[in-house]
Amino acid sequence: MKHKREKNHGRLQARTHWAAFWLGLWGFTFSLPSRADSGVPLHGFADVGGGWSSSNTPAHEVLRNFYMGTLDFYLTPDFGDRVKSLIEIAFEPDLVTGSVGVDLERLQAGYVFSNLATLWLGRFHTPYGFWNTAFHHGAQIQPSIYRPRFLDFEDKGGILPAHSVGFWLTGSDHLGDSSLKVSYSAYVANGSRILPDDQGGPGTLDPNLVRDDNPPVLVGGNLALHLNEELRLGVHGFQMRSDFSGASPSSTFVRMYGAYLVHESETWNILAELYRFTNKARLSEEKWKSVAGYAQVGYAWQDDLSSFYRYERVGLNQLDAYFANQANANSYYRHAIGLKYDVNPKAAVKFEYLVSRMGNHMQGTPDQNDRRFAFQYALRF
Amino acid sequence: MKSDPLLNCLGKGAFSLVCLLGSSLASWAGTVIANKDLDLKPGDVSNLFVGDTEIVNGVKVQLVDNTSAKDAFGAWLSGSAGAYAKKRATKSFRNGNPAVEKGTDAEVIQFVKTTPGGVGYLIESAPADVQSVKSF
Repeated sequence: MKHKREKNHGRLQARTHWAAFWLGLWGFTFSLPSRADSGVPLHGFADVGGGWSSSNTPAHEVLRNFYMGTLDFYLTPDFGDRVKSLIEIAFEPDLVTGSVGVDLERLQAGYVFSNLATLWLGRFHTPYGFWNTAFHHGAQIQPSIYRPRFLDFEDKGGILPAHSVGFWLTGSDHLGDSSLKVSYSAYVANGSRILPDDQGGPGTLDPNLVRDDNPPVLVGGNLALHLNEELRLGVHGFQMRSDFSGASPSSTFVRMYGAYLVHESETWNILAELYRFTNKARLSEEKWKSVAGYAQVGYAWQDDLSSFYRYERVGLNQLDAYFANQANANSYYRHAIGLKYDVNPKAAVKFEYLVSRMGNHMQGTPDQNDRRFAFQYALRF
Repeated sequence: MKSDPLLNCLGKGAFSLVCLLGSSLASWAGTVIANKDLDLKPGDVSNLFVGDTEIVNGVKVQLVDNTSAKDAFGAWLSGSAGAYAKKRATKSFRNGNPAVEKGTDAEVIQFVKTTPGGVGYLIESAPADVQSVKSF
């Protein structure tokens, strides 16, 4: 009886929170500055799907039959001058419990000084590499169902800070009258911490949304040379201090640097990103090196049908506390092939087959294989 | 009764002229327009609508899509209406550039005329109170 009372109270609380959220969103939307006759358009993405995976661990990666994906809304209010804003809210189910959570993915306020300088303040997609800022929660525009595993979001086991809160300066411009263009990003943000699991063991990255847990800020940059409209080459890097407050606390200076290549044309889509780590324990000053990367080739057979192949290879030194204290930070390699069919310009159906070999997190335990087949119906509105 | 050869010739010539005019009109779909005070070159159009350019000669550009001409404009600029729609949506999602939309040429003209930095496109040719940038 007590359990049933608690359950009903929980349901009432949840309904109250949902009602409050929708009322707040409705009021917020109408209070935003807008042109008298246009309002603030609400756009977004949604995805649903299913599939099957051979492995039973880790729990959040198991795929059995069907799943409800992410409902992602974004607003880009038009202030009519150089002021910009971007707000993105995502509803997504917890991959273990199934309970739906709300995440304020992006809350950015910006000012356009020139084409070479737009300054953002707030929560943004950390601008390393290409994939993280290009696709993020936009399932319909992403060529595959799964992101490269090491580039997954923090709460899904990604090993990099996919989100940051801080300042982000970005811009681009052509070099003279040539087709060459340079684009860049420079950012300063709260460094990420590692939150332990319920037993104080390895956990997941947390971007420190409301305060930094230690003095040094995360500093990073990204510089790309666009050889033409289709091809760009870039270098990127960041450094931060990341602390773990679990049963075996640690404090690590994380330094990442790397390069990437992007080729996007109507027919070929080629992506490759490399991340090298030279991390150092803050107290002992012991150093470790690790590497992660992927290469993906996609081909458009016709306007509405494309396929891809991707290879991911990740070698993470498990003596490095930054990786040892993240539950998903194991070495692995993965092959992925997939097909994407555009039902119309705003809806896509995808099929994907992945084969992975995971190096187990603890030294001396056997590797784990995983084979999975997944399908997804992704919408944009 | 025999037909007049001169009339036959004139008739064929008139028919050919109509065909020629018809084909040239069919290839012209619309006009890119801008606020009269904006110094915009034809080469800037692509960078504005599907690239990263937001400022032209110190003026923040305000883009407007014309739903009655969007398919033709998109096909001209990006190869297909679908490709253009995807690029515009992607630009909005990644960079926070809002995609303002109007439904008719008259609404687009009013927006561009009254908005410093306004840039849009029409099905028809540009009226005198806005700047004609490029035909497509």
